[in-house]
Parts: sequence; C-alpha cells; structure tokens
Amino acid sequence: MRRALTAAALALSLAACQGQTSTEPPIVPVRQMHEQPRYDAQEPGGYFPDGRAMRPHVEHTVAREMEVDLTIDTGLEGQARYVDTIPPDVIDGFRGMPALLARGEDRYGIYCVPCHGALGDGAGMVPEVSGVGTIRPPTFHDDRVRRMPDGQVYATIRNGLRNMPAYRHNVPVRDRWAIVGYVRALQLSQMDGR
Amino acid sequence: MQIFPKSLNFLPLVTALGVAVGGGIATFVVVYYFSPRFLYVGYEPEQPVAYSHRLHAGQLGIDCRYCHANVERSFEAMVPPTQTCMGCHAVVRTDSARLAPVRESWESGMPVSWIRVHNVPDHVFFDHSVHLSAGVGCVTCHGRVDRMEVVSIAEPLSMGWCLDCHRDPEPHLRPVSRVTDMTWTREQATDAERAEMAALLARATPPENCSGCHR
Repeated sequence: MRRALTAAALALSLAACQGQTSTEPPIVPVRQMHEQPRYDAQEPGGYFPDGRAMRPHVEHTVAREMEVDLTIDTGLEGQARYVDTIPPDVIDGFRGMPALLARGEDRYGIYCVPCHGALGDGAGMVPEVSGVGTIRPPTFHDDRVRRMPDGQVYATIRNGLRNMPAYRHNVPVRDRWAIVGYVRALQLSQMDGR
Repeated sequence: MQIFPKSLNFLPLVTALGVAVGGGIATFVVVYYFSPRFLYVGYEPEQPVAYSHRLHAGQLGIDCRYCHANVERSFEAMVPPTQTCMGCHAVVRTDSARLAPVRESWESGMPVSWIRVHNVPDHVFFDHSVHLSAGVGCVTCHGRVDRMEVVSIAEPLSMGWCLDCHRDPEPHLRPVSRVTDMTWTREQATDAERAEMAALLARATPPENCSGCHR
C-alpha cells in the first residue's frame, strides 16, 4: 500500500506541469469531428502538383474581388499617363476625404512606416537595423516626389520600384489610394509655410 | 451464521478511503492533464524556416498586419505568401542560410511548408475579422508574440476559455486602432479610447449559443 502510494506520488511529481513547451503536436482526447473531410485555408492538399489546396490566382483571369475600373486599378489614364488626383469614385467610396485620410494614416502605419518612417523621411526601422545602407528609401519631402502625380505614387505602391516590393498582393486597391492621400498630407505637413 | 470474520471489519473503511483518495487523484489527473491548458499550451513546432517574431514584430516593430494582411478581411489570419518575405529579403540578408528555404520556394513556386501552430477543431468556425473589428486584440489570444523567438500557444483556446470572454467581454476589449499593439493596456487608455471601448462594448454581441461558433 505504502509502496503504491509512493509510486503514485512520484509519478505525479515527475509528470510535466501545465504550460511546458513541446514540439510534439497536441494530443486531442476527444476527436469527434475534430478533423473533417474538407480543406481548411492553406491546408496541404494532394490533388495539385504544388501541394496547395488553396489555389493561387491564375493569370489572365478575373477574380470576383478584383477592381474592374482600370484607372482605379493601375493609376493610369489611357495607356501611359498617370492620373493627377485620386479618382473621385475612390473618395466617394470612403464617404469623403477625412475618412480616406484616416484610413490612409492607419494603413501607412502598417505597410510604409517600417521603411519610410512615420514622417516619410526614409528613417524607418528596417533600413536602420538591417544595416544595409543602400536600401534607405528617399524622402517624400523633395520637389521630385511632391510634383509626382497621385497616379504615379499609387502605381509605385502597386508595382514597387527599385528596392521597394509591389504591394498589390497585400494592400487592397482602395487602401492604396488612401495611402496616396495620406502621403500627400504628410508632404503638406512638412512644407514649412511655403 | 457469519460469512466474514471479525478481522475483516476494517475492509469497508479502507474501501471508502481508497475510493475517496483514488477518485480524488483520478479527478485531479483528468482535470489537470486532460485539459487544453496542459495539452495545447506550449506547443511550439520547429518550423522549416527559423523565423523570429521577436525580431520582426518586436525589435523592428512591424505591424502584425504587414504579413498577416488578410486578418481584417477574412476568417483566417493566414501565413503570408513567400512573396511577402521576398518583398524585403530580395534586398535584406540575401545570403542568409536561414532564409535558404524561402529563396528556394521563391524560385520553384512551391510553398514553404510552415506548420500551423494555432488550430481549432474543424467544428469550430473562428472568424478573425469579426474579433478585430469588435476590438479584441491579437495579444488576447496569441500572447506576447512580439517576444517569441519561436511561436508557442499561449492560451488554451478551449471552449470554456472562449466563453469566459463571450460572457464578459469588457476586460478584453480595446480600441480598434490598438488591436495589434502588444504592449497596450487598459490602464493607459486615453479618454477618447475609453469612450471608444464603451461604444464597442455597447454594440458587442458575442454569441453564447452553440451555432455562434459551431455549424
């Protein structure tokens, strides 16, 4: 009896406590319907050769959520001219400029601040910490960027430029225009009275 | 006629004691060890790429949504595509050995086989976008990811744990602009933020019925 109790006490004291880390997948005691015969988002699937169950976008096809207005989508008017201002449709979609700018500020903070910095002067955390001096982005506060048409700023976000990656896969169309609006506001804020 | 001799009179007492002690131990073992707090919390699989959230989200201060860009629009936060990694790493640390699988994936078009860490059962339909717009922050369920070298499950993600918050959401709400802020606390809320939280609470309708999360 005593031996059994000691063994039980020992076994309990040897067993791990809650919250210990493990690289082994969690044990699921109740398994009913835990794994159902369907693919979750990003789950591997056996049908396609790349092993993805979720399919990447097929070129030359139009997805339902894609922007159909080419000017809004590309920032280009016709084939080669950038639009000068944010398309009115986009502003209406935000129900006015203040909402667009607020959204732009929010999105700028997520996608742009890491490199361009909160002021748009190129003093972001990433160029600084990565130690690669050459990737410091140019400031927004010079005449070259100030004179850029809105469509060109938009197209830069959409397609990337030099070291800057394209953001069309993770920033939706209207958010990109909102960021353009906020960049303009940033530039105005740094114009010291001129 | 007596079946049991008097010397066995101790048996009922010992049996009762045994049932009480044994039952107590069994209850403890089930409650403590069969619970998600023991089975789920602390799961940190070794990923194919030694990606550090502590560096990217903590030190560099990159917002969660830079990579988990769908989190406000869909059920799933999703692991970012290789394209997001290569956006920066086509320029930064281009010869790092740790990044070799990412570059390989970029060249071949095959996905990096990340291992999913936070995974609720298939009969649970958790929607990230709804929680973010209701003012529930990342840190509430995922813990201090900005301090994690390797992502580890911080909370039990069990039904009881979900319901704790669904029944009393107030202490877990934050302004929508702070959902990805890992260091924000309710004590440091400004007046405007307090007003926003009150508004969020007033319109919060966290379901407590089965079909809220199970379909």
